[in-house]
Amino acid sequence: MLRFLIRRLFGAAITLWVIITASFFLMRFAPGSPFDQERALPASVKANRWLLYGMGHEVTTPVAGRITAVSERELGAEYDEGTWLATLLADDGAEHRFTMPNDGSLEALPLVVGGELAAGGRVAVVSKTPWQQYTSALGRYLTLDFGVTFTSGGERTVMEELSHAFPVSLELGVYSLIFALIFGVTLGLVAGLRQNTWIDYTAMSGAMLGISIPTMVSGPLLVAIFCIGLGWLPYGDPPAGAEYSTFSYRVLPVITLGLVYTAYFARITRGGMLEVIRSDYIRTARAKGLSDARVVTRHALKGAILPTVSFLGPAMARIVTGSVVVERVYGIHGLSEYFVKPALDRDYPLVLGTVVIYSALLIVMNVLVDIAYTFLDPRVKLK
Amino acid sequence: MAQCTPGSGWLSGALLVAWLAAGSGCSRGPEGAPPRFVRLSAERAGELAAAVADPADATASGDAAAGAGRLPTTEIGPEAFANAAMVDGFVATCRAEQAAAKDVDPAPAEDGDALLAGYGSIYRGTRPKALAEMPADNVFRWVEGNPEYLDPNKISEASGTAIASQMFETLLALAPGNTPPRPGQAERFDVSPDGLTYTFHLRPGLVWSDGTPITAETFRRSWLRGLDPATASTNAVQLWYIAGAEAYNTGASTDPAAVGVRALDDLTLEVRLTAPTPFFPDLVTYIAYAPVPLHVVEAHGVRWTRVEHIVTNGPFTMTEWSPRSRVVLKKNPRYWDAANVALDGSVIHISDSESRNVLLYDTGQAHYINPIPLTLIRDGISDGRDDLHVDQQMCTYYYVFNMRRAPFDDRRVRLAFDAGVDKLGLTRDVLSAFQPPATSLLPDMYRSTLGYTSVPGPLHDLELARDELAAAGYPGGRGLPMVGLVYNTFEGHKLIAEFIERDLRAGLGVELDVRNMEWKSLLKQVLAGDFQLARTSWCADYPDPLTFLSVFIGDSPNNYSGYVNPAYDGLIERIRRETDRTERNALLCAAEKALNRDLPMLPLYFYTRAYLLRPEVRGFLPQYANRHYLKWVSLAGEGQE
Repeated sequence: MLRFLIRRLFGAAITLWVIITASFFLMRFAPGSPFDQERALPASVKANRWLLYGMGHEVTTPVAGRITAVSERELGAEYDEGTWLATLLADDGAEHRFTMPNDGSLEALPLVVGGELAAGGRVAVVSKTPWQQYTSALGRYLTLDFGVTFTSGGERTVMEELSHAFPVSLELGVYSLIFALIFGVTLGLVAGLRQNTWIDYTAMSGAMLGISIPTMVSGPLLVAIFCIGLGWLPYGDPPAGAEYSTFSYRVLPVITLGLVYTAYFARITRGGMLEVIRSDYIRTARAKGLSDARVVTRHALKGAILPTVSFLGPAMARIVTGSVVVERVYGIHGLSEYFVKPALDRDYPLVLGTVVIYSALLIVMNVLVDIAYTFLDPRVKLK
Repeated sequence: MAQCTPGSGWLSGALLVAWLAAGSGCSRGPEGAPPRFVRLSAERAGELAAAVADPADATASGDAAAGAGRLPTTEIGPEAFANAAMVDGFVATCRAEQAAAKDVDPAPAEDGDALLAGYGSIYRGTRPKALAEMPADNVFRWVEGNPEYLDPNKISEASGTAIASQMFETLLALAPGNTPPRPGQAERFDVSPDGLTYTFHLRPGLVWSDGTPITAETFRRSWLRGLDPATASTNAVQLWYIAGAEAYNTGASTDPAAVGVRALDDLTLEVRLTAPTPFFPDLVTYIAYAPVPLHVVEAHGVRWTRVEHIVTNGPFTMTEWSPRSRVVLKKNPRYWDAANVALDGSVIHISDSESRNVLLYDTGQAHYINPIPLTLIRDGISDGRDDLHVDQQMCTYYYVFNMRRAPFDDRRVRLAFDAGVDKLGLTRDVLSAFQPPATSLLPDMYRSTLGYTSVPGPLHDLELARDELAAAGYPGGRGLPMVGLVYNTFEGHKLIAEFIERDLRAGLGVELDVRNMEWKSLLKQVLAGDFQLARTSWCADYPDPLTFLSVFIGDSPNNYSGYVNPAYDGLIERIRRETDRTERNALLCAAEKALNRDLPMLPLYFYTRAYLLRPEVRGFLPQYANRHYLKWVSLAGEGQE
């Protein structure tokens, strides 16, 4: 068991690393910089933003002196490492040449020939290469420190934003899963035990309907009926401090999101039950003279539910990602807010944070499902 | 309709027709409107100053045509641009036109606020509509995009501005609707005769919401914080009108004392400007000029705008800020004019989806929603519901030509495209919210405030367009290479681009290769000059034509067209320095004429804003720049209806 856990954790770390690396470079390949906007910024301000977010270097002079020559390089353009930028004559007579410290864009060169520069004064601001940004950030990312978001002016960290949104999405996901499990498994068991009766047909037709109607259709329909038409349930985010009424805001989203999985669970459980109920050990149990109820609860149930458990992993994954649509429909401010907009804004840290949180959640869910399996099926051993 | 030029019946007619028809597809501009102010480099400024000091004898030429010998001899490239002689001709014509136009009131702004208050409304329905019940708690509820941050020194996008403006009051306060600024933190101000020095007299006894006093020094230090390069504010350019501000902001000077702001005593703030700026009182109402509570900033750093720390000086303070979810404001009892603030508070739902806005409205959670879906605008107009409003907006939607490359380096091709597009048809058939068609860059909304009437550009004229295209060597569009048109991905832009594509193909035989791109990718291409025809727009930063005209200055970062015309830049410089209103209007008119001749852009229409506003809301008047101050807003109680 312990060895299994260690192996899975190791695998999880590798997976996360691959995900971080892929998302990091994919974001950098997207055209445009996070600091481009329709109305251009002054170069000095833009340069300071590169520094503020740790994506640029400041080239400074080690000694005080006078600038004797400045190259006519264009701000914002890309230059190779070693490109000459300026020359400074130190007070002691030594000449210092300043060059690009790496390939990248030149963001600031606030110098004039003849100008005096104190020791430590700014010669230039140069963007770091994607590789430098990657290596300097990777360690932080692995400790879940994604830095500040670009779209908050450096005022809020990624984790701070996500820690508001994550519980909201998690709550919705967990409620939906519980809803789907309770109704889905019950329906499936009943349908399996009463195969080819009207109960079975009704349950399975309902399940088919649930699977075929996407949440983006069922959601607005439910809103139109229950929020606007009948006015029974509220829409949107619950007001702050009104804990008792929060649940009423979650009823419709949970039903919308859970409905599809209720249907899946019902079908899978029914299938499991049909298979188990015909197996030899059930016949043996019946032969021993056990009552029907006892056969079902003590023997059949465990086996019938196994396929459902193995579907839990993928279901959780789909519920979590599916909640993006449902959150949008119901105006719930969960993680869905962070799925698309930050990528369009080129808010690199926020995109990475969201991706990592989602991936970690899915990996953890899968490990939990594997463990749950051992308890239900003695044939499965974790190695 | 009041905004329609009396001299241009075509425009008025167009509007009328557009009123009667309902189509689909307009957009709010790309989010945010960070203001910007373009400064010339030192060398360029020197050149221009020399040009201005020696203006050609304007009285000699009645019109540009009169000096035919001085007209550009080519139609291709920068040599074809309106030259200094032509510009002088334009100025002379404009002066004459102004003198002839008797119906323009020289000082209409003094007619009083009543005239201006309802100004800017284009449409409002008349049929009452049953709406969901709202909580009866005297709290104004509305929707806004996600504010990135609420620090007045840093805010550069529209949502943050809209929310922070309720909490931080500037020297002059935003007035209701489009009326001139009113006394805010300052009870009055004086302007020196040369227009370069403003002296603001603060109200005695001003305090922050925690009781800390506000003095002239608070304002000075707040503005310096905004300009400090270490603040890395994207909005500091808004303060560059102040002498020495640009040098301090860009790091060229590190001496804060060189910035032209002085606290003469606790209640007197003196501001020196770089140029006479007749719209400075309007500028001062912008959030970049708001004070920040420096004692709180020092104590809490970047976290000072959090609910637990924030301290404000305006009519409201903040009690909740859930990023991307909700902001809740409460009345500030220490605000100097708290007795006249009708609302107890405000709830702002953060929403970036039109359909969510409608749901919030329909379930009784919002008094005011903007933007709203196109289908709702169309249905709302056809059933006449009285909570649907359409207001004029200080924004122009246009395509920009890349003048560095063939075929748009040829003025005749640009003119052919401009005259070949049926803009009236566009606004009638494609747009649904009464957008006026645009023939020139400037929306005509300065008549009431400046007594300035904007100049119409080339009208729809297929004959002319075909002739120009033939003259350029492409008769019937033959020989013209495929022209690429790019726009940022948005349904409204797509409908417009498709209309233009069809229209130009049918009218001129021109083929367009229409493509959409995600916004940042488009911006990168356009900034690199790698395009032929690109969709863009401009919204006014301040209520003066200069904000539009400055876009096409040679070294403006927003001038994507590659239009570099020293004669035009010199004209803009003259406008900046001019203090006489009549002469300034003549110069504005000349600049418009130069643009309408050189055509760096293809103007399509002027934006309107359609929104739902519940009828019980009072004091929420049309505002060109969508800047609403909740101080003036109240909610009619039951029975008062």
